[in-house]
Amino acid sequence: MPKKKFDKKFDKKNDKKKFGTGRKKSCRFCQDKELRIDYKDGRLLLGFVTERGRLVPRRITGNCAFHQREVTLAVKRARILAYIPFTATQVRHANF
Amino acid sequence: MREYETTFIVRAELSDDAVRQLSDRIKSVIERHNGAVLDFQIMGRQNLAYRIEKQAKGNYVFIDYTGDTAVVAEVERTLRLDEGILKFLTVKTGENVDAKVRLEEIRVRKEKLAEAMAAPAVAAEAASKSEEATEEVTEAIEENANA
Repeated sequence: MPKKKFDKKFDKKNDKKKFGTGRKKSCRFCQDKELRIDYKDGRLLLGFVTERGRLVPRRITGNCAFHQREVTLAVKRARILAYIPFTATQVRHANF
Repeated sequence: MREYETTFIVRAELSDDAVRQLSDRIKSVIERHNGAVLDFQIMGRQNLAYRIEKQAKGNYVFIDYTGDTAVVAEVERTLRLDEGILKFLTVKTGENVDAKVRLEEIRVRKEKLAEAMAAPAVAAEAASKSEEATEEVTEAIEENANA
């Protein structure tokens, strides 16, 4: 059986050329070693959830796998302690 | 010995004295079970992200301590029985911890933090001084112009 030919259609490198430069975001927590991920820091964690309170994926935040895991855990803990909301509808009640 | 930290939310209408009394009770529970309190902070009244027991505000208290599983069980039982507590969360932060070493580490960290907080104040002071100096200079120039 002949070897499979290299299919240009699925070449990721070429795709990148097609769709812009693909600027790679770097992980905020890797760049700034002083920056700690803490479930008590609601203001920091709000940057990693949408307005509706859902977690923002790694491809958007630019976090590395390790720090995204830390952020995810911190967000879940912060929700329990009411530092950040579970859902957006709850915000309305809090600001009555 | 493991290290744990517990954060709990007290009803905002409870007085500071009541909160302190409650905290002392929990500290004594920790010490009675051969634990050691490493850090303790009353973080103050904050808005809750959602209502808990119809409350929109809560007083956050944070305790860092060492101990074994019995300590956590007893602390959480105490918190559950108290009606002033809206919610609490215990997190394990370290395994095989030496209380004395950690106490020292936390003390050093706090000192550094205090220094960092003081540093901008010093810088601001220096800035205001230089501002005063420039004011004097401009005044002198104006005087010269008038003369």
